[in-house]
Amino acid sequence: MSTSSMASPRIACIAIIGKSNSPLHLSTFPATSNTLKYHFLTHATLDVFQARLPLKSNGDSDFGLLYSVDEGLAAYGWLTNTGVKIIVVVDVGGGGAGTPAMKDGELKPVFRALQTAYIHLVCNPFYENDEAKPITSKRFIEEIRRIGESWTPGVTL
Amino acid sequence: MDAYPPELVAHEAPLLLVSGLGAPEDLPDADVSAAYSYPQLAENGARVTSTVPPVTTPAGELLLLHFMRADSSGAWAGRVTDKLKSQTPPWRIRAVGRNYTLPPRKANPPSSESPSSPTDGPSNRIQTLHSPLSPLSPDSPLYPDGVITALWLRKHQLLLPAVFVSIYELYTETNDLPLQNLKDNELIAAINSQKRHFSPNLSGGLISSISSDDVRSSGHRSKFVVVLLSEKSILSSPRIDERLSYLKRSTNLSPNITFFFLPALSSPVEVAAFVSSLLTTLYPSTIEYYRDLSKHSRRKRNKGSVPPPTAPSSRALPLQAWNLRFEFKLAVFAEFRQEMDIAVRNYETAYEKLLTEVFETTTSWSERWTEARLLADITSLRIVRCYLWGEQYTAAKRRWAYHISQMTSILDRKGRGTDTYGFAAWMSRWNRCLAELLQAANLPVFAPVPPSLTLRSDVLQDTPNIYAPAEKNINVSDRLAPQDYLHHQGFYYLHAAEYIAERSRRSKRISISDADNTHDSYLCPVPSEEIAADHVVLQLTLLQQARREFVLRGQKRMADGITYTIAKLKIAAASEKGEFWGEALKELRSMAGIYRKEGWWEVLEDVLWSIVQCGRNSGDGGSVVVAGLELLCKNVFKERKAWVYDLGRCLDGVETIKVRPTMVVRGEDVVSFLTASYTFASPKVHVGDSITSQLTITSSAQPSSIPVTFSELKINYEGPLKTILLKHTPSVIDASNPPTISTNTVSKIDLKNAIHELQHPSNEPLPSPTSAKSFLYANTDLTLAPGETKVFELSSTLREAGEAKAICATFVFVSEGFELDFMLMLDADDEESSVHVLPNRGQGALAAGGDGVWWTEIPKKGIEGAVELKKKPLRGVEPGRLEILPRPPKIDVTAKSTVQGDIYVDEIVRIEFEAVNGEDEEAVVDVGVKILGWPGDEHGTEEPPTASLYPLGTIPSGASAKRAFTFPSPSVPADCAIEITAHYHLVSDPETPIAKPIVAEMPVISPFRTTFDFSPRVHPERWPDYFSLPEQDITLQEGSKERALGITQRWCLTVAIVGMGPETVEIEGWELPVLDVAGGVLATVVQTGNDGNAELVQGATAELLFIIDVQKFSLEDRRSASVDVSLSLRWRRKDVSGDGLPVINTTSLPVPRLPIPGSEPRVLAALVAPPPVKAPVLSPPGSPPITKLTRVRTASTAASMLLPTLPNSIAIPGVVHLEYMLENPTNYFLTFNVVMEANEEFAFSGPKQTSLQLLPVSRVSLHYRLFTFKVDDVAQKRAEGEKKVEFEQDGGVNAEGGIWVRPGLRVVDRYFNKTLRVSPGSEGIAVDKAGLMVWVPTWEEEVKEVER
Repeated sequence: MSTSSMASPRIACIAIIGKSNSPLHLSTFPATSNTLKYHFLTHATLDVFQARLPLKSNGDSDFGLLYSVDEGLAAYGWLTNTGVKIIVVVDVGGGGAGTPAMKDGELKPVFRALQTAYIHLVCNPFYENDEAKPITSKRFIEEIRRIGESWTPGVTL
Repeated sequence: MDAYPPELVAHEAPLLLVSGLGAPEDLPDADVSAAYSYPQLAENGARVTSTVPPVTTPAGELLLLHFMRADSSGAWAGRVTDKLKSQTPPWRIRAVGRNYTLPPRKANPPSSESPSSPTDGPSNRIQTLHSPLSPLSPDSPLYPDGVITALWLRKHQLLLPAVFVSIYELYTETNDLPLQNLKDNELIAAINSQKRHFSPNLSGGLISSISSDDVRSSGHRSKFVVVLLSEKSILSSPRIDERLSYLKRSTNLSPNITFFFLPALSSPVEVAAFVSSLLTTLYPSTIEYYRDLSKHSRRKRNKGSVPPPTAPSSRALPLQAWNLRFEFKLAVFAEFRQEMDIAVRNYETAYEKLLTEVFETTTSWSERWTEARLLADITSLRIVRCYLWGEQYTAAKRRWAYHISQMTSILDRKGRGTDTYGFAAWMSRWNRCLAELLQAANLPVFAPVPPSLTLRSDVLQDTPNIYAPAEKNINVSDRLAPQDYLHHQGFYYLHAAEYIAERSRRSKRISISDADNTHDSYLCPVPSEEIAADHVVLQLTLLQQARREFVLRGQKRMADGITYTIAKLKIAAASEKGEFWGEALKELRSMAGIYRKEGWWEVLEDVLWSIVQCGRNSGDGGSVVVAGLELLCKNVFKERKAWVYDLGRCLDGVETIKVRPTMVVRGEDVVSFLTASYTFASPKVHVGDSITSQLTITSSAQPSSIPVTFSELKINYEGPLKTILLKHTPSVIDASNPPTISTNTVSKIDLKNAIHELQHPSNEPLPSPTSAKSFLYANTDLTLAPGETKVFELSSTLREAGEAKAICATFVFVSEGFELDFMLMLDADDEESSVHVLPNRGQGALAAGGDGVWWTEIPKKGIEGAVELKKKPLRGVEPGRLEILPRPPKIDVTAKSTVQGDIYVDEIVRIEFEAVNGEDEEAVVDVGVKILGWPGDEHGTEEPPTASLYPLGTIPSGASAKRAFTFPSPSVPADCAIEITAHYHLVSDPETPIAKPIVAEMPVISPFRTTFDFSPRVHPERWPDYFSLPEQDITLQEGSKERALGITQRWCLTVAIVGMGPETVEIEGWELPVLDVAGGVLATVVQTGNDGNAELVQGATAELLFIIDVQKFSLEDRRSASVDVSLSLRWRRKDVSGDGLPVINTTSLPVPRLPIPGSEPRVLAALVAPPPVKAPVLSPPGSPPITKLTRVRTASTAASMLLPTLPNSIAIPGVVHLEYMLENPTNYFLTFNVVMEANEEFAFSGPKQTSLQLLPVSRVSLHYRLFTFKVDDVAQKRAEGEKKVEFEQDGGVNAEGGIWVRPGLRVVDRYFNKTLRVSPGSEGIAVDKAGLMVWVPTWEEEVKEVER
């Protein structure tokens, strides 16, 4: 159970999932060693991608809210043209009446920034893009960390 | 929702009681009777009785069945879907017996006199009697200050009907009139006695009966309806109509409003329709019924005062609570009417009053406080349900969450906080309630989409199945939190399970000394029981329910995540329940696949360790071994400290295993620490040769693991290669061992010479039907240390042709505990594999590309004698695939043509070929010849290429056979190819046909290119004469049936032939056969140019002249005509190599159609030899035509068509004699004005201007002598230098020693004033756009040459 007392929504987890549904990267905020819960959580969102994919024929990358996990966490999805999925889990702040709720499309800049970071990574000719192992690029991980930690609703990245 | 009394959560629907059809509920069951119990029911309730027995006929049973089908009890009555909106409204239908007791309206007066009010008189007490459920009645469970009880809901839901349907049967057994009347009267009496209990103010008769003691009206306003059945139809019982109307009259019932008749022998469909229409008819009155009840409650609420109690009490329900009670009742009645929006308003008011009044004023944790909590839950649940009914999903979800926040706030303020197990239990229940409500509602928005429909566009929704989209009426500025969306029930089951886990954690904090009343035990056990409660089972149930919902909606990964939780839960509880080990193992194995397939290694690692744990505890050794095998892979799994990675001993110490497991594991099903690849040295090999191949196995086991030793390694092939079996023998440093070259972690074992063939003894049965009869085997060391790569170099001899492929390497591992066959596919396809690509893939191959590698030894730099292993890429598409080609043919066939270069058309071609037997033994050889690309003839049919075999007989080894053959080449150019195939077989092996084909290009070209020129000539013969008889022997041609009488014209066809072939062709002769004539002419080829040979080298031109005489058959015929001829050439090649004889070929070349214009006057200009000096140049006018003709004839006869040679004349350079011949083939006298124009280029002698008269069919000639002025210029220039002259083409000066001049002779028909065109009539005269040109030789040699 998320018992976050933070009033403002914040990013709890960012996951990059490859074309064949393998995890390429997973960051949690704050960083914890036990990420198994988030592994399960992000893995389960792939069902939603799969179910909604036939409806996304218009090339829209934003999958919006995938589902809210419980009163605290909500998973949002984004699909790139190459089939790479970006999942952002937001801790919306306990679901109390006073917390500012998320606006529709609030996370679009986050996803754009994440996708740009991924594109920079892939554009590196020395990056072996075979989706067989997690991303190890320090620069990429640092960028993900920056995005995940600095975002609050209404902030431009 | 099970925690709440069923009445509180049931969905309200109008109650309809079916009486007299048997009563399935009236069973002597304590539970059932408890469910219908009601205070003072037996003593005070109005009994609706009847003496008529219940209807038990089949028709009655059918009717009952259909009534019960219309029943929709439970938490969700009916479904709101677009398709079903027109469905019958929801009803709650109960079948009761003939006798039924209605709940009492008023409670009994207090049994004993209350001591506090001794002065109250009995009349006073009667006035203040209340419902048995009222908080004012002392016997009521609510007394003195309760708000509402579930019994009140039960009264309206189950006991007090909106409609009471009484079923009777019309007596139709006999048609006996008195008996029927008797029975009918019995019915009337029964109906009337029942009817009295309902609608008290309907008839005056009832009012009178109120006073009677035995039968009183119940006072309820329920509608009373009678349904009559009949056993026999109106046919067999004709008085039915009459009797029915009598019954209606006597009971004062109105047909189809309160009186219904179901005809006899109704089919089930008709019965269903009857029930449906009955319910539809009755429904408005039920709305009215519940509206009346609402009015009653509203009146009481609006009074604004607490009703006087039956017995005074110190504690009493405050006014606000009374209002809450009325609001709740109003809401329930609105719900009965399905007016959900009204219900929501009333419930919300009630809820507000509950929060603001009851919770604040009631003592915390008292019984009433708990009741208030219950009421708050129920009210909220009902509000949520109303929203769902109205398809306001987001509002429902928000309302649901609002209740949580309100409860949290109350508990935090007034209660024992929210950090208690009780609150976790309540949260779990609250989630579960929502889930169950959603499940009962079965909302279409969450309906699982069957897989077959997912492709249909109309079924697709925007967000199928996961959560409901927000309603349109939600305010945009009202920001929607993600949790405001209503998700499907699986999520809420899951949350409920999570809260159970939370509850379980919190219950651990309970200390034994805690008193029960210090904990929040609302709807959950007290602490002493809570400690012992089995939370795991609760959690498992919820998790399984959640999983089912996720699976239904295709959320397989979510379901797998839940499965993991279930398994973990079972593992945690397995210390108490042993069977959980096995169950957990089953769960884990079922869900591991998806993580393996999608490469979630961290999750899989956890799952695999759990499998090891479960397997060891449950005795499933196979699972332990396989999981241990997978965990060896260091590429994706972390190394666990203090764990001994030893595959062979992984079952040691496990006592639970009963049977020694034997397993076959396929490489693509597990994460493999082993990789194997197989490469052939070359992709194509012939039968009889041997092929070298390499099997490379690499271990990427955890570095701390014990080296793995396989007992056997088997390589299977597809195709004609034999299975290779490698057996383990521990390696000893020994000279007899196969040489092993090892560098660091890579070692290469050369087994090329160590492989032996082993035949399976034929008398023993094969180990399995698929095992091969014979196989190859070798002994080697099969121990593989972590990180080690072993390369086995193998060799096999090929016996059969075909495709071979290495399929699979089977590693056999035998230990004390188990036996494992690990099959690694060597042609593994990543797409089909159930394991995600491992990071180590591609390590074996070079980065530079190439699918396979080949390990070779190269000398190590710097160290003498040492070698190191290097891999080089093999660039075959599939290095594990080998194409075994058949034995190659060793007979050599050579062929050549006797001519060099291209073959000409219409030629006899001679091909010589030779077959040399390169085989080791005699061969019987046949030869087939096929010409490809032979051109089709005019009709399109193609000459079939011959494919017959020509036997060459037996050719000894090393000998050769020579043959030649000829064939005529096609008559049109074509791109042909000739294929010569030697089919042979060895004398020793007649079964194996071998073929050696050779193909040679053979283009066929035409050696000639022709251009044609067709121009008129002056005919030397005289024209026919009016005054002389025709000479028969001249004009009558041989073979011609008709005598040609017309004028003969002479034409000249000039054929220029250009040699096209590379080789010189000698033209030996030529002919111009006339193929066809048209237009009534006779055409004769009178001269075929100069005879003799013409040699044609490439690019050179030969000119052939053909003179054709064309004569009209009739003089009068003036039509144009045409002649078709063809050119036939006889030729041979000049140089024929070899012994070929000079073959003369004949080629027929097409000639364009030659046009002969019609008979019109014309002028021909011809160069002639100088006439004799004496002869007059021009006949004087008026001289007889015969003289002139004779002269002309004389002159013409002398002149051949090439320049005539006249010995007497002297050729002078620059002088030519020109003769104009004016012909008049018409039948008119024609007069021409002739003007020779002066010209700068030449001087001329001859008439400058004259007039000529031509008789019909006559001709006359004009003679001119031309002398060019430029002769000297040309001669001078020529002397200066030829080159200069050569290029000076202008001014008519030609490089060839002559010039063209343009004599302008104008011949004008005086009568018609028409200028006749002058046509060239001999060599040396040409026409271009500007007019006639005459060639004047200006050089003596040229002149001489021309003359010659």
